[in-house]
Amino acid sequence: MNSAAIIGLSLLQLAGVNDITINNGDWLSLGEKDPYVWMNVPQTEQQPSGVLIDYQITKAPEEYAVEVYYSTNLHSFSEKFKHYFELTTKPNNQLYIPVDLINDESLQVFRLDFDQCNGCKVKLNKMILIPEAEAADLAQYQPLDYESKINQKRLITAPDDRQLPLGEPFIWKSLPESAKNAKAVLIEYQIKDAPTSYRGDLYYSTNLHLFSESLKYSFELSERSENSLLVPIDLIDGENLRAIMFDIKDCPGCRMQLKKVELLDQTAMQSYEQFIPADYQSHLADKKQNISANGMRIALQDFSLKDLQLLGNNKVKVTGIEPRLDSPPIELKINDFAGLYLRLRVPASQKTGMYIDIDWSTNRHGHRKKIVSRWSGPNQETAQLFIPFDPISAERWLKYFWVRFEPQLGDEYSVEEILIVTKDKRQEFQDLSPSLANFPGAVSSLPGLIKGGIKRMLKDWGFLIVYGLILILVATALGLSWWAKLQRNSTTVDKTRI
Amino acid sequence: MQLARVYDSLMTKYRVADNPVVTIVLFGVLLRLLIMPFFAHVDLFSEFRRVVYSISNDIYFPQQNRLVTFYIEYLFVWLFFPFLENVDKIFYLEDISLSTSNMSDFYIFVNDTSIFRHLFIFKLPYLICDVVTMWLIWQFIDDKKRATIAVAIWVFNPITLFAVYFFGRYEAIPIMFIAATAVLLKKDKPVWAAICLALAINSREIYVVTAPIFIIALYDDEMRFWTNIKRIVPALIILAVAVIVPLALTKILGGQAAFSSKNVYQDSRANALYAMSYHWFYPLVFGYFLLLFSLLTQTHRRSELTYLFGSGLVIAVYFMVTGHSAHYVAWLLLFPVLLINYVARLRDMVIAILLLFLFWFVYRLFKTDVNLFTLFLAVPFNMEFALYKTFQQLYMGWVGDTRAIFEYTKVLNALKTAFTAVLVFLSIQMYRCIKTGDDR
Repeated sequence: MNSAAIIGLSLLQLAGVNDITINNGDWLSLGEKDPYVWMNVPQTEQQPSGVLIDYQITKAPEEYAVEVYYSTNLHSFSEKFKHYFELTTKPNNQLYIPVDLINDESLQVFRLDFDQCNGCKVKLNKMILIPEAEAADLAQYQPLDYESKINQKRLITAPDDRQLPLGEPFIWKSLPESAKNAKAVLIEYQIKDAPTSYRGDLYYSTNLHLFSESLKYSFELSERSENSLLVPIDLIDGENLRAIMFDIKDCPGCRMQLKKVELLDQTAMQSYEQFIPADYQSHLADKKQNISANGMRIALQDFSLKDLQLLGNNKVKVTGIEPRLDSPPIELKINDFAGLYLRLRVPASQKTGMYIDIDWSTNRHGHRKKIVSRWSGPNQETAQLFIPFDPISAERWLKYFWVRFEPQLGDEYSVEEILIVTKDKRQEFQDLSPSLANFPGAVSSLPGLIKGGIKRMLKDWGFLIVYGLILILVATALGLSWWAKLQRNSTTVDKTRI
Repeated sequence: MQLARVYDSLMTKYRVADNPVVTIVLFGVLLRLLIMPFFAHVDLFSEFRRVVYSISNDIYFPQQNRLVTFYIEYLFVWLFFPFLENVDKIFYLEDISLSTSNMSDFYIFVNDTSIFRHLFIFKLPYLICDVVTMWLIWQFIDDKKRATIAVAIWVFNPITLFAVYFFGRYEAIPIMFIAATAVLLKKDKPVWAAICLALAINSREIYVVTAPIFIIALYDDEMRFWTNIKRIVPALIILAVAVIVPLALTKILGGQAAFSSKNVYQDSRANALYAMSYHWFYPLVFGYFLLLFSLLTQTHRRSELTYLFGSGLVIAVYFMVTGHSAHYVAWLLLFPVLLINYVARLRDMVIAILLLFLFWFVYRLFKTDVNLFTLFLAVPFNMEFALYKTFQQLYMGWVGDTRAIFEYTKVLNALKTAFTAVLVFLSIQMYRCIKTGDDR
């Protein structure tokens, strides 16, 4: 590996340690509870494909383990983004940690946990970010179960559902750049020992971590040994196809071999039109949400309810400590929409104000952000909230949101409307809502900034008067003090002259 | 002018007639009043959300650290509580263990039309403490010409102006107690000085590093052994109690402080610090102990001089080896300002202080941090300030992909090094005071 392989800096600058003492010569003495070190990853233009760790160890037991976590944020480590190494007492060790992230994610933090290694002394010699081109050379150092783990990670179904031995794993780790033009996937396969009817689900995804039920097409399949399937890919502009998965259901003991898996563009797709499933158009129609002039309306029935009971008539009742509505998957570019509007009939206890939390996510694997809104209104039963998307970058996609309610057992809410409001209608819906959260959309010029500030000040007359009086008082005292000093000086000068 | 004469006679009556310092202080107050309602960092909201929550929920033991600061803030907010608006909505705290505000909650605070009055009320105790500090500086310095210069430096210094009024941090409170400690030491009232230092430590925990220096400063080798004991032991007890009280309170109240699960001495970062995990910690420990040993062998007798020099030096060394936040430098400034009383050449110390201002400003402008030294602090005046580019972003845009000497990190490192040089220069000036102070 030459020096060009090093992108960014060495990671040896530790951000912190836990249950570890650092001795002379940078040897780490591991404690017995939970020893780990972590480091921040310098941000480079090129995303690393993995991290190479070279370390020495002494006083290690015959077998110990190292868990390596990597994360795209500074707050949490997930079991999904972890590699596990079982190690023996070799004095020198190399570990290669493939970092399995997608396009717009960036590796931020890296953590090394030592397991069953109480009293060990470790010296970290190298921790280097490895670019994709160099990664293949280091495969010998990666975790033994890496390939199987990485595939398992991408299956959303339980392993029991997939008893058929597949010819090869049906996953692309990273599809080529040209995949973004793909309009369909053509699959040709041969199957043996299949029952008269079974089912196949083709999932496609814009990331490598999770397949979602919303981006799936299900086929009813027959025992024919040769099969061709064409699945149109229904993504929105700006999203790239990154992975697909073909999952055969109800086919225990089947043996299948893939003959062909091709991505087709618009032109190529037309020549295979006969393979498009007959019900595909209606499937699409079901999926599409109705976007009206005001925005995209989402019916209560489309939400998943947690700690809430649906009473009918758009009414829900709080039944647990974490009542919330989980939105169906949505695909909206923030740039085109201004915010979320909710109209609810609220229980008596919440008439004068309530607190609603909106978590939102721009991807499907659990990275959530939070915007909060509080409703403060006159004593009335209908609460209208407008929660602007301003804190979210306009370039991002809103894919999910969650509406959390006050955990008051037995409270009943009528959800009258949930609408994702278009930009044009912002003012209209913002004015309806006395929500306290608001955020500017763009920057004004300097006079505009000052005008805006003064306009804000004029809304609190009470304060303005008191503040103005205090200012006048202090300014007068200052003026007088200055004046008195000048007077004294001139008197002194006069006296000197005399 | 009749009014001016009345004012003049009033001033004469209170024997401050010929003090240009009155004009300077009034100017300082006006300047501060003009800044107060329009700037804030998220930390200010976190702080006062805890205070408001404590008032609304009868919490009297909110946290183990900074109790004195908290009670002072508590008193002021309690007095002005009827003038706060939309308390239930703006200061809503969902989870008491997560009282540090996120950006969403901060925007709700800032976006409300009552933001100006809230910021004004919250910063009032800081203003009062700051003015008291100005008075204490005036009291401390014997030569009144020097005192005027020292007060003027304090009034117009950008560091505490930033920390207290732009950022909105409570540094003015502990600084006032430290100034009082110095004045009382000078008047040879070690017990009262120890009480003030105890209050300072419980206003801002950093000042605990000055406690050993304080004890050493009380020792006078020309006094009899028992006289020394009589001076030192009560002070020692007071300081020990000051550190123990919050811990004891936790025990007595049978559990935890309301907001924090850990105090600063138990915090994992502090543990990491004591475990010497941070490379910068070595020179700090080294410098600190070297200083303590050196002070032990000093023969001079001015307690306040030893205390100011030692404390100033240890805090300067701290900033030599760490970066941290821009407003922390506010801890340092009081020491060289009070030492103006002892410098042989006033000009040298003033230059050192002015260089500190200049390099602190330029270094911080480059360092930026998140929302810390940027126009974001003006968000209360107009939310649009949140969208402005930081100086760092602008600079990187200007320099582009140049990897030459002007590359951002290189400039930043160079500035940090230059800032360290200023701190060393300032330390030299403070050290010189020891010599001249003893001679006087």
